[in-house]
Amino acid sequence: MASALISTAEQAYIRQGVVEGIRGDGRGRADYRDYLLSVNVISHSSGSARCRVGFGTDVLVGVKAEVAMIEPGEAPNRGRVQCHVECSPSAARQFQARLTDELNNDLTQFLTRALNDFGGIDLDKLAIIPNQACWVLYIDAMILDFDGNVHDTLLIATRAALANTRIPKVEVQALEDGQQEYDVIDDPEAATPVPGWEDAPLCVTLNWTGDGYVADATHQEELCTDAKLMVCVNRHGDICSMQKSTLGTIPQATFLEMLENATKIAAQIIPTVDQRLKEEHERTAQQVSGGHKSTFMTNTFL
Amino acid sequence: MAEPLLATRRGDSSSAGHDADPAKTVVTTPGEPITTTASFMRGHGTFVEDETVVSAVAGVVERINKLITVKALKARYSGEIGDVVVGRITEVAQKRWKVDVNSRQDAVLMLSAINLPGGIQRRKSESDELRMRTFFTEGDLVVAEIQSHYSDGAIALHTRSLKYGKLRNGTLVKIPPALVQRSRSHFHALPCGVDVILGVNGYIWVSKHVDMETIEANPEEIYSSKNDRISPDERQMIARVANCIVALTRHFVHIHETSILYAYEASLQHPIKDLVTSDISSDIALEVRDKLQV
Repeated sequence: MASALISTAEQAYIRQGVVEGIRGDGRGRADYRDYLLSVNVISHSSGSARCRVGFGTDVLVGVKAEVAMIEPGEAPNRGRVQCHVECSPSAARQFQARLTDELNNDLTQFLTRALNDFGGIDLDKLAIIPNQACWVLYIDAMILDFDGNVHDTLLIATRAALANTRIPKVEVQALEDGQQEYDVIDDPEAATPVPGWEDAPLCVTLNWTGDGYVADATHQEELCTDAKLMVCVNRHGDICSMQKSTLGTIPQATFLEMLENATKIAAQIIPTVDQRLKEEHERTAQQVSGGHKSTFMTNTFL
Repeated sequence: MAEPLLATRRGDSSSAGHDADPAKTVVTTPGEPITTTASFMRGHGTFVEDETVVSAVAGVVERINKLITVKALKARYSGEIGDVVVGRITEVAQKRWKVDVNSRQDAVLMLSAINLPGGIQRRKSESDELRMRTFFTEGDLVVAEIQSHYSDGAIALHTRSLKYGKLRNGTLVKIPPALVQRSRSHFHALPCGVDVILGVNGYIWVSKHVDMETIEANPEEIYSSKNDRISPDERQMIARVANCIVALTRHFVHIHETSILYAYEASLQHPIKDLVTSDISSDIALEVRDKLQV
């Protein structure tokens, strides 16, 4: 359980560590913690993934594809992505009761922003019949445990869940009166991946402590953070969205440097995450053919 | 002879049928039957269903004569008088501080249970009460000893020794309390120039080495929150020791001076930040286990 208190001596120690580039766990400023990634962890979803960074932050994401009506006034030829993030009250002391409402909203907004507009997913291909029906991807995330850097973990898990998602095939038939009708085909073999999931971004959060900045901060480090900059970058190195949070300010020159570095860090982690994702998919494929359902516990530290 | 504990049978087939060896650890998961013999009594962490004693937690089975208990691997800390604990001040209240010691409720540190700067044995005055935040404030880490228990189970702490008091110059590592055993000393100065305080409550303080003489020479510094100068080398040492402890914890190796030293030696061939990855931490834990058994 993480408590939201830190002593002045610890703060000074961590801040000095950031300046010297030697963090509490021996990492350099741009280093990420080791993480675990599993896919296909929820059987009744269209796709799911779980990511655990270090021995701390743990995020579970489930994606459900459902057909929905296109209401008048909405884009006539587009699907939708709907996100919801919730923090488990057992994850940390500050997640108790209503204290999480704001954080839940914040994370939901963040995820929605990251996945819409420049989020990579090809929403046009999610349309079924113009002005009538489209696919909606419901993305639900749960923060199960907390030790800092929720945003990055959330996007690693979400991207993995999207990669794991299969959307059932639909056949559209034209009726005689010019109307159209659709049929969802149950065959799992015919289901297709989410169009454009590869271009979904990952997030690099940089934490500014007043004299320097670090990536993948632990909870203790986040308590020393003056300002956080969340930069969502896709595999082409394009910045898709960004957000600054907490009250501190970042000097202008550093800000640009941070953006540049975030892109560099993303260029390093995206291929490794994708590689991990590929291995994980191969592993689950083997297990499914062997009659076993993937479980997260098979490769946790425990 | 009593019927063997069921859970032993699953583990090592060669030792099945013998529960006489008390050194043999039996690990159970919740809902796992432990024994069907009616002559055993159920203790903490177990319940009886259909005349079978069943484990209620994930942990290690302990048997004292006829009493069977399961000690949970991840439980909150339950204090005993005389334990050295590391805690964090959560609240400053009337003549007392509330301290988070990973227990079911916050421990209490009375103003009358600390050493005040200056006179060792002077009376606490009202002005001391007004200056409480200059001694300990919210968020501060303290090392203290358990003095007594209150009737509601809360722990009363004291820091009436130069060994105890405010912590600085280092970093906190949190581990399951079950991994820290009570021993003669909980303050260790490792040869690599790092001090380790093993709180029995699972909070471990890893810091730069400070001589006892220096502390005794500057008694007014015991309530200082300012770090000494820490060189990059010292900082790396602290990080290495902290990561060694984390690596051992991942594999449920008991944390004591020897295991930390062995882990430190085994860690030297790896970069510090890699020590907590699953591969290297298991290598280190295995090596330490081997050495400890010799």
